[in-house]
Amino acid sequence: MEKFTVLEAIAAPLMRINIDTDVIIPSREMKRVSKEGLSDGMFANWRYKEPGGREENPEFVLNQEPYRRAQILLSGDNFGCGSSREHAVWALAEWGIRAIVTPGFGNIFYGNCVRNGILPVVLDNEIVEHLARQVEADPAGN
Amino acid sequence: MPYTVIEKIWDEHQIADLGDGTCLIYIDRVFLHERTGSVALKGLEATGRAVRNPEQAFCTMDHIVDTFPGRTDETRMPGGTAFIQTTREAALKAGINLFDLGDPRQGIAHVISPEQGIALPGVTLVCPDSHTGTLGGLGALAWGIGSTEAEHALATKTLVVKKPRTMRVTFEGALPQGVTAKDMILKLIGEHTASGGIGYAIEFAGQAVRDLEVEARLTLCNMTIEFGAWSGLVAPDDKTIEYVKGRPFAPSEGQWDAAVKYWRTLATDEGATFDKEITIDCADIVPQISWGTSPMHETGIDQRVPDPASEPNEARRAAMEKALEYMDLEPGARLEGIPIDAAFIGSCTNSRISDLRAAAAILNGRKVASGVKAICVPGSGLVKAAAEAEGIDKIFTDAGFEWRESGCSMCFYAGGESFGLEERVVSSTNRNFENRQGPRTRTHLASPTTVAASAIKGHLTDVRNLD
Repeated sequence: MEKFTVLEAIAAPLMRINIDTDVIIPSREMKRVSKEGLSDGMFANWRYKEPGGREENPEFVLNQEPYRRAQILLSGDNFGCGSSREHAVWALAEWGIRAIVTPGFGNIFYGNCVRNGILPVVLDNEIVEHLARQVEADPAGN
Repeated sequence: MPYTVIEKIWDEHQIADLGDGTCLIYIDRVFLHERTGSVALKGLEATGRAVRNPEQAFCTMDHIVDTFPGRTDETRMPGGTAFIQTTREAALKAGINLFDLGDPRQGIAHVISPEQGIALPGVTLVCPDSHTGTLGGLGALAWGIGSTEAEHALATKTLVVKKPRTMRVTFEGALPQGVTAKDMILKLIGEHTASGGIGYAIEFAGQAVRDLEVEARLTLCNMTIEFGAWSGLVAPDDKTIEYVKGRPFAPSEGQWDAAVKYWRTLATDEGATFDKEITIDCADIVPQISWGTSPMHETGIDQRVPDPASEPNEARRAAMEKALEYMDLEPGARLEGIPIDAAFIGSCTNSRISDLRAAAAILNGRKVASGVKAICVPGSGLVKAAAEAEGIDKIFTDAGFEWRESGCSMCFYAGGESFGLEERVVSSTNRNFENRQGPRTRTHLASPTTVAASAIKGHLTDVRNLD
């Protein structure tokens, strides 16, 4: 696990509430008994055009520059709710996410973040929304 | 000092207060399944650690196995066989209790755990599965964890846990006719949102909860995770003790009286306080149905699809708009009467014998509407056998339902099987998330009786109006 000290990185706004772990890593993308090789399936149903396909959906924020290089996710409340699958965190970490900022986390997801070197940050909704607006106004400068 | 039942169980298991809001908690029993447990067992093996008390660890095959009659280790899911075989090898090597394919006891973790007496009043039980809170229906303190935490629990019989706040949800009055435990929990989540329970352990109380049979209490507690809660339970009572008695992993005769004496202390003391209280009048509950892509997107079957314009909270309004687009529904449309493509009865929420009996009472002498694919997956081999002994399988198959082997099945693409593109499904499961049951599949959560009634009519149906 990479030590977490100071992180300066691009933040991507994904400001929907209740983003569940089925969205983060769909069941059918968990193909092997392994913590590795999961990032390709991360957000598969949003990131790719067709179910099961690999053609990128240009409208999805992590397919856009500079967010392709994002290491911080800004999200709406209750991020990581739903299934306990640690694969969601393994996929995010492998893709490059180091910190997630949201008004609230699913309990199990929060614990999984801590155990895999992703910093889960809880801030008031107004602050997260403010940060998201700042990022959207100047994506590369954030 | 008066204590809540949650505090009593917590204190009994607290090894140390770590001083930062977390405690080291003793874990009585660990349950695993082949999807997340496989990684945990492999992780233990890789670091050369052993399971500390193999006799207190349990493993089933439910998440990846397919549910077709005559099944083998082969799955429709590419790579699924490896999950099954890796788990089997690791479980046998570790010497833990395994409910393997072919074992008549095999089934969904949270169905067989009560059935076998693995979950008991007052125990702490963890499983790398989010619906572990189900077992609170027996008065256990049970919660879902990740695979890494599962490794820790297996190796040490302990976990570091953040001390939850406490909440009491009181269901006052008696349940109206046609209303079930599933409708109670959906109503709670609909009114108080999918994040309303974050950080809480919940005690369900009130007359309607006391009136529920144990299996219905399991359904009630099953969806505490959809409320965002850490765990939820119903204090044990005579019904619980009666239910537990004689089950294979329950206290044996010599220990029984002492166990019952302890379980009798597991009630919230008069005057104990909770960090939060919610009261729901059961007279206000009708059969519930979800219309969106979060369990909080739900309402009464006699209602209309809500209008996002009337939602003052911007984030929730945006989520509603996305949900209606995904579900292909218009604000103001009547929910009853929306045509369905499929109906599913199963999952750790609603696949127990009482669920199947209730659905069979609706299906008896009726036929599933033409063009509707209907599937029933009993929660365990023992549920299936009991249903077959009562002739319930015949009622389902005569009505036009498929009758399957036990497992998680279509709740989430288990075994690689799913409903079709954009199909609309009424389902006794717990999650209506996007793509959960298949590619762009549109899920409506409901009780097994509402699912059965809707399957007959071919559209979302108020079970109270069935002729």
